[in-house]
Amino acid sequence: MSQWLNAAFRHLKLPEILLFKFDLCANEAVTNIISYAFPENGIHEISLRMSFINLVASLEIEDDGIPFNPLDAPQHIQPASLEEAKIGGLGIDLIRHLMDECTYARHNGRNVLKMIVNVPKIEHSPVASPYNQH
Amino acid sequence: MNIIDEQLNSGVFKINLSGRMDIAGVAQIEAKFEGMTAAPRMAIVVDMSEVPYMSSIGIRALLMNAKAVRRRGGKFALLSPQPDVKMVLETSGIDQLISVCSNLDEAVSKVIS
Repeated sequence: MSQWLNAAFRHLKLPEILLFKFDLCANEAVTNIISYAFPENGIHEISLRMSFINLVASLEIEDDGIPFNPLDAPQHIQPASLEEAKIGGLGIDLIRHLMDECTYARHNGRNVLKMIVNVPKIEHSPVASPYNQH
Repeated sequence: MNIIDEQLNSGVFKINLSGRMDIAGVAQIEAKFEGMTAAPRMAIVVDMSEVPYMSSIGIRALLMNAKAVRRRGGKFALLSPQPDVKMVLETSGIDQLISVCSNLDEAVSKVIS
């Protein structure tokens, strides 16, 4: 997935500086989907679509699992000390912090998570079409 | 990922991590990592300078080991994370729970004080 994202970034001429953010958030989101949206295991499909249109960089992740909205997870509360820190639950929190906007929708029996970063300045004007992976 | 241990003259036990700290990477080192932070080691510095990427699974590994060391009264510090990894540590608030140092002298003084 990281290699695909790398290729998508080159294809769309997205600023390299955003690659780490999207790589991280894609990994966190897909990990969550695999953990929660497929309770019955079996073969499932997760598709990713990276686009860059009008200074909006957007990664859409779609899966055919049970309804699962990762954005429903409660806000992470910063523990006062290492002793009080709980293990886990940090993935969605990283997504919330690193993305400018996240939306979730259930469409045609599929979960659709959209993660967006508004790109303030660009050096190249993108002309390419969206980049897909299934 | 790779993990290498190093006993420093100061009595500090240094653990050098390298590679992407994602699900696959952490799976390769977590057992060794846990073993290296186990008793009797009380002063541990984890060198992050060769880690270009870290997801929440990496944070989890750091937290679990730091908590174990703290539980028995030891000290644990992170050394020289790369900018992106440092950003993850800050975003998740881990830098408020575990010392993050930019040079070895500072890290050593944090864990032996």
